[in-house]
Formats: sequence, C-alpha cells, structure tokens
Amino acid sequence: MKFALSVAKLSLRKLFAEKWQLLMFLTIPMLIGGLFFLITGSGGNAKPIGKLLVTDNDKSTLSKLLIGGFNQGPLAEMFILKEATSVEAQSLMDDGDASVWLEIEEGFSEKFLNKQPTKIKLVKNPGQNILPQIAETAVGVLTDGGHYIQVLFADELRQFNDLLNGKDVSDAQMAMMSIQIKKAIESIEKQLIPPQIKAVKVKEEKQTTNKSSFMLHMFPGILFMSLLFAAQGLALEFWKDKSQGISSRLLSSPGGLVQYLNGKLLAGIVVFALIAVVIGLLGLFILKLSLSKIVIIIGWLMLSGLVLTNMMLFLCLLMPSEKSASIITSAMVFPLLMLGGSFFPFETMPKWMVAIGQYLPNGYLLQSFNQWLVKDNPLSALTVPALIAMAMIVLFWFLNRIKLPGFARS
Amino acid sequence: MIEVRGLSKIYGSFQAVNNVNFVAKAGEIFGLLGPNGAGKSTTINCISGLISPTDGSVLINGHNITTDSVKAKQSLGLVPQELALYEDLSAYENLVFWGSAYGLSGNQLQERIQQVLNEVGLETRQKDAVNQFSGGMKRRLNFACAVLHKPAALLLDEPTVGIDPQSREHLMQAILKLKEQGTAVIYTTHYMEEAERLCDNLAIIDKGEIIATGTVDALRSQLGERDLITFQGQFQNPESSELESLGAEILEQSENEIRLLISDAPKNLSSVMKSIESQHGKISNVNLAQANLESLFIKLTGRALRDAA
Repeated sequence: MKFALSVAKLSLRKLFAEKWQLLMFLTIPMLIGGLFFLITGSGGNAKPIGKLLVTDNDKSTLSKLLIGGFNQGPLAEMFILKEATSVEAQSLMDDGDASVWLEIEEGFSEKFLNKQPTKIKLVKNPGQNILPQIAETAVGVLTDGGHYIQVLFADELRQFNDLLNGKDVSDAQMAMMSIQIKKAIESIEKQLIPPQIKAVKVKEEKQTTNKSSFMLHMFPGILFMSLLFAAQGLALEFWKDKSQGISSRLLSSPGGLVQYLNGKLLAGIVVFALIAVVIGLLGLFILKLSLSKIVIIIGWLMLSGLVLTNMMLFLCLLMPSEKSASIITSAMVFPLLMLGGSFFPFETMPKWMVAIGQYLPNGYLLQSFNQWLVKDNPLSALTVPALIAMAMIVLFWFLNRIKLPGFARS
Repeated sequence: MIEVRGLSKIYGSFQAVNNVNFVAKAGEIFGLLGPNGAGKSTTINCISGLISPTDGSVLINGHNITTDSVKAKQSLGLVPQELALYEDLSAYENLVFWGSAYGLSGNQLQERIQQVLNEVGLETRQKDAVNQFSGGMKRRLNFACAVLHKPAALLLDEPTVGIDPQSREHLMQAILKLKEQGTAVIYTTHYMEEAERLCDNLAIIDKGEIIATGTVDALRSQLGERDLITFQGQFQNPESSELESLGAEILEQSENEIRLLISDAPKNLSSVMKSIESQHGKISNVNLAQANLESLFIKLTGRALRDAA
C-alpha cells in the first residue's frame, strides 16, 4: 500500500509539473461550455430565438387570435414574428432565414365557426431542430384548444365574430349570448376547476426556475468532457512509463505492478476530484447549485472517472505502441463526447443519436447523472447506475491487472 | 547467492537460452561474457523475474523466483541495460520511487538515499531533474536505484554501455564495494577488460549456451602461455599447414586479417611473417598482444566478441 501511495504522489507531482496537460483537462471543456454560453445568451435563462413567418390570408379576428398565441408567454421570448406574403415567406425559407412559416388559408375563420375542416400550413426549417419542433407543438396546442372552444361556444363565437365584423347584433341577442356562455361555463365548471388544475400551476412555477436553462443542461456534459480528457491522459501515462523502462523494471521489484496500477488510479481519483471541485465551483456560483449537490457531484465524478480510466487503460494496453494508443484513444474520445452528451445535451440530440449515446459508458453515466441533477429525480435514482459503475471498475481493473505484466514485458 | 539450474528460454522456434547452469556466491562477482545477442540479457531477465523461463529454475538466496517471487525479489536488485528512470523527476524523487517499490520508507529510506547518492557521486545533484543529467550520471543513478534496499544479490546488465570514464570508474568502485559487503553480483558485459578486472568467475556465453566457465586465470590457461598476433593486409586463400608447422594456432582468418596464437612470439614472429608473405599476401600491420579472454572467445567460436553479433 505504501508503494501505491508513493506512485500516486509521484504521478500527481508529474501531472502538476506538466501544467499544460492539467489545464487542458479543465480549460477545453470550460471553453466549449463558455462558447455555448455566449452563443445562447449571457444569462442562465437564455433561450434560443427564432424567426416565425406568418402569412395570414384570412385576416380575420380568429386568425389574429391564433397568431397572437405566439406573442404571449414563453413563446413570445422564443419567436420574432414577421408577417410576409406567400412568395416572400417561401423565399426566406429557401434561404434558411427563418425557423418556421405559418400560413393560414383564406376563409379560415368562416370554416372554423361553421365546424368545417380548415387548413393551417406549417413549414419547418430542416436545418433547425428545437424551435420548429416547439412551433409545431404550439400550433398543435392552439388548434386543439380551438377545437374545444368550437365544440362548446360555436354559436356564441359566430355571434361574437359578427359583432366584431360590424354586423348588427340586437340587445336581446347580446343578452342571450351572455346567458348561453354563462350556462356553458357552469356546465363544464366541474371539469374545468378540479383540484388537478392546481398541479398544472406548480409545473409552471418550476419552469420559471433556472433548472431548465441551457447552461444547466450543458454543465454535466462539461464535467464529463473533462473526465474523458483526464481519463485518456492518465491511461496514456502507462505508455509513457513503459517507454522510460519503469514498468518492465517494476516486474523485478516486490512492490510490483498491482500496487503501481492502484497508485496510478489513486492519483486519477484525486485528479477527478480536482476537476469536480473546479468546475463544481462554477456551478455553485453560476448555476446556484447547493453545496450538498457539489459534494455528490464530486463523488459521482470520482466514480465515473475510475470507470472511464480503467476502460481507456484497457484499450491502451491492447495497443502495440504508444503512438497507436494515443491515436486510438484520441479517435475514440471525440465520438464518445459527441454521442455521449458532452458536446450537445441529450435533450437537443436526434433520437437515433440518443439511442446510441445512452449505452456508451460516458453517455450512460452522464444520463444517469442528469436524471438526478437536471431532472431533479431523487438521489436514490443513482443507486443502480453507481452499482453498475462499480462492477465496471472491478471488471476492468481485473482485466488490466491481467494484461499489465505482458504489457510491461513486451 | 544466485543459483541458476538448467535454465532455458524458447521464443517460438528460437532458442534464446539453452540449459544454462551457474552459481554466484555471496561476495563474488560472476561475469557473463558474450557478444550482443548471445543470450546474456535473456538470462538476466529470467533471473530477475521479468520473463518466465521455459525450463529450469532460479534461486535467489534460496527463494525460487517463479514460485516464491516476492521473497526472491526482496533479495534482488536489478540494473537494467536500458535506463529505467523518470526523466522529468529529480534524482531524489526517482530514488524515493524505487526505494518504496522495495518496501523502504521513512527515515530508513532517507538515510539510504543519501548513502547511495554519496556512493555514486550524485549527492550535489539530487534535486536536479534527470533530463538535465549526462548519460553517465543517468547510468550511475540507474545503479543507485537498484542498491537502495541493500540486496543480497545484484544483477547488472551491461551497466557501462556508452558512459564516460569518470562514471565508469564510479560504478566499478561501487560494484567492488558491494562485493566486499558480501553481495552476490552477476555482471554481463561484452567488454573483456571489465570482465577481467571485476569478475571472480566467468561464463562465456554464445548462441544461448555457456561454452566455457571458470575463473579468469583458469580460462586464460586454456590458451596456454601463448601470445596473440593479429596480421592485417591483403591475403589470398591462406594455407594453414605451414603456419601450424611453426607452432601457430590460427584463430581467425579472412581476406583482410589473420589472428593466431603462438608461443614465444618475439622469437617466432619473423618466420611467421615470411611464411604469410610468401604464401598468402602482403602484410600492412602487425599487432602483438598477450592472449586474453577475447582470444579464448575467438578460439571457441571462431569470431571476435565485438563483431560476433
């Protein structure tokens, strides 16, 4: 054990002597995270903003009400509305200058009030993912809402429309309309004001906190990006030691390669903890994470780092030279980062990519971590992933232990 | 004590070491002399546990290196042919690393570090990074790392390759001191001068087999009281019968060189030269020397030590 501690101490001493390597583990992921931060705005609540083209061929009160839906609440923060003719809108979409194009056909209002089928055309920019999806969902919600209003208040709405369009409505008709609306509301009151509606309010409150911010989604990815870089660096250290004759000479010492391996992993744990502390402090100040969460983040990163280092090391030990080990691990790191949710949060990735990424070691550990940190699941949600991580550590530690003597001799 | 019994190592179809036997006693320096590729390093690697022998056994202070490896390795120090040092760490830090690999710690480790640094003359450079050292200084530090734990048996695999005379002398003195302290030393080299100076017993190894063994004097006696004469020049199809009639034993002959052993060389040199020039060609250079271990190696293998590989 003393030798393992000595190996750990010297490994850390070497690592701190190579300041650029240590800085690389920390700065590159933070740089990437910082760039995303700047791209998406300067605050933690920044949202992507897109251009919504509207071609209103109906120009009725109802069509204006539908378009107005995009001018209210969170949608208003996401979209800049621009009215355009069909030709203009088509041209802008072809140039990729807008996220979505919404076209309302002529006679929309009339058909809607007469319970006839009507058409709303939505054209999405294929080069964008999130905003067109949001717009499609919003239009879906608005048309669904419209359908229910149509079922409940079709006659009243027609009268109301006539009133707004300047047709004469008598006082009696107005009184009748008011009474009918009141009765209709009373008849559906039991369904409209059940206790469940209060739960919806709670959900709205949550959405206004900064937990849903883009930076919070990026934060675990940045941590895991650092981990992967560090794991690669630590695994390649074994090749550096081999090229200096250290590992083969250790075969003739009683301290041996097992303690050497343990010492190197021990040094790795310290490095992972350091990464978690440095980046975690940013989380503490920027994302207002609690101190208790930072402690759990440190623990999870130490565990995840050990998994990734052992796996990277196994890969390195299989390689015939230091150069090939370096090439193969570098070639693996970037796809792992891309698919494993470090460059782009899983929430913004295509489904097929998520399907692959969630089964990659870093992707699995990151997604499990996200369930707790971002999606606010209880800490117990990390129990099974932690057990799987520990099993992976034991498995790959044994494989590395078996492989190391042959590696040292070769 | 180091006992090597019936040691063999086969790589695929290549027999690197074949049935090697010898004993290095406490307070003795045992030399393994042979050209590059003769099997010296493979033998050392088997003894130190770096590789497993195909057959045979190695005992270090009575502990089998294969079956009782931890105890055997505790008694063993290894100075590998290739440097095994952290270049970016200081000499002191390297010694801490290797000392702890052999179970040293605390004050004992600190005391031993200062002792070995004094022995190899690096005490003033202990805080300097190894990558600032000369080749000779690195070799000395490589040696120091192996003797920190006062091993009962020490293996030195060509420890003086490519070093300056000052560092060579430091190492020689340190090795002789270990011998005085009772360490059993196995020393491999292809420098016969080193072997003759240091070794009490020697084994000459070629193509994985020991071809001669004994003390330096005993091995020399195999050559008799004869001198080694080397002729250089242009020679054609040299016939040996006339030279042999003059009492010469031809060790090696080629178009450019003839080496032979002969008694009382000063007296017989002129007749030998006449014989060569009349029958074989023109002599451009003559070298006369006392027969040594290299002569024996040439006699046994028909090749010189330094070009045998």
